[in-house]
Amino acid sequence: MTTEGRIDREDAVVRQWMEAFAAVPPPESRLPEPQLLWWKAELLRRWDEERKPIAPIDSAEPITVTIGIIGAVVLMLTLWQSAPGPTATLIFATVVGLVALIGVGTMVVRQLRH
Amino acid sequence: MNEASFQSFYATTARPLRAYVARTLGDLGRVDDIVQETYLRLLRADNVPDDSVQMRKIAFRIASNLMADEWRRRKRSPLQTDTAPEPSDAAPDPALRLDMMRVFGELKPQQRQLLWLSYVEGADHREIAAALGVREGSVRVLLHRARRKLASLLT
Repeated sequence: MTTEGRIDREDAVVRQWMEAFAAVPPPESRLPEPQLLWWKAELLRRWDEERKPIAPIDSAEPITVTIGIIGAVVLMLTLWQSAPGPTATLIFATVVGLVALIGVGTMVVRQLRH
Repeated sequence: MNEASFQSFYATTARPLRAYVARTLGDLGRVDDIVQETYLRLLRADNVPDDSVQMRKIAFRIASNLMADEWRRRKRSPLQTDTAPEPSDAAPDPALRLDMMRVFGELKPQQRQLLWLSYVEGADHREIAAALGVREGSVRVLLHRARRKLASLLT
């Protein structure tokens, strides 16, 4: 049999089988009514619209947090070098505490938002 | 699109779209979720054409993408494996039906999509390429391989 003949035969076999397979009724549907889908989409659209103005704030949030942490570390290093022993420890503890507070605060806000 | 035109679009597309997802996905538990998500994404999308033929193509593309996401998720999570499509209770001959599901389940997910879109939906290579996110030139080769694999399973 030629290659073209084989391809034609395969095509015929597959076509016949796919037609029979497509004729098998699909399982019972649990799809919601179209009205419900429409209103669900409508609500999601409104939610999208409401979120649009705060989208830049959302996307800038990680940048703000990163800048805050870097700033705090730079501040800590600067003050540490110029301060005497006990004060340096106090500065270190304060800055580490602030960084931890920023981190935890960000996570809490994110959780509350979602 | 208004509510009435969506209802009319839904009436003509829900059945074929659901059949496509049910036969190619291989997990009946997720079929309705994916079809529902397809319509929600379609309704929320910007610049959707009013032409129902174009909308139908977009719906099949969204469903194909969602199924691809589902397969990727299953690959990452070993507990959820890709299984052969499950049988329907409504078909007339259970043994034959189960056999058909098993045979189709032997194919790769993308091969199932290709064959369904080509033979059941009657989509041409360009439309299949758009629906599956592959190059038009690749469709011919991929379809040939899928056809050959299915033919070898049947003969």
